[in-house]
Amino acid sequence: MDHLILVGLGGAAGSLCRFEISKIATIRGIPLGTALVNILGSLLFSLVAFSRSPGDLYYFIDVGVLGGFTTFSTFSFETFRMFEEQNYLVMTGNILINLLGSLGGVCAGYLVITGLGGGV
Amino acid sequence: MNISLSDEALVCIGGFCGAVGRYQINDWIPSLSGTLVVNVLGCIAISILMYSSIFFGAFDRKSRLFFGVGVIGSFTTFSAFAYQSFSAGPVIGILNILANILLGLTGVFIGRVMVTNPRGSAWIT
Repeated sequence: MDHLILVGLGGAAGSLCRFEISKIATIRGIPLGTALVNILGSLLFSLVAFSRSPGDLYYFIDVGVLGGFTTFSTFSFETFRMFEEQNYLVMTGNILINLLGSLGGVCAGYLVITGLGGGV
Repeated sequence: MNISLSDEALVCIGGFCGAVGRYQINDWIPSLSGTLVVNVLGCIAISILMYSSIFFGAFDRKSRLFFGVGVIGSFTTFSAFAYQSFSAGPVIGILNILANILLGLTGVFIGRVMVTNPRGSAWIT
């Protein structure tokens, strides 16, 4: 199928899943829904990317579903709001949770694929 | 907008458009730079959408779902950003992280200034 259609359909599905997950609670000022989609999405992205999946699967799952599932705009906006409200500790925590969580997710995906003797 | 689509349909249609837009930009500007461009543009866009709604009620809930959660949320990406930063090696990886975080927050700030201070008039808070 045309990559454009695969990416679009994936993006629609990923966005809907993010919308549902984003309804979960904010704890100690940290929007956990955003952190959860970004961490989970980065882990799954890495599993597909490091396994060197064929083009169609990569475009549908990684560029489409997980590109739409994770979000940088909401993360930045929420972080900026914390800065504006002078919640510097919460802001730092939010950045670190999203950043270290997603990098940890990518690393875990890498280890799973290489440990399984995958394409890397 | 006066629309009667369900919340879920709005998010899906918006998400389709946002992902296709990101794919197109990645076609012109591949790799880390393309991801940085979509993320910063998306941060400016969500900031305009949200601050014009907060301060002036410019967009209703359905419009914010379509544009904010759907189009812009899907246009920007955290997963490709994290994957590319991890894969790029320590120096480029750290520079890429700093560029996305700092320029993303700057993008939100720019959007806010565009909304609150469009003609160089007094700062509205």
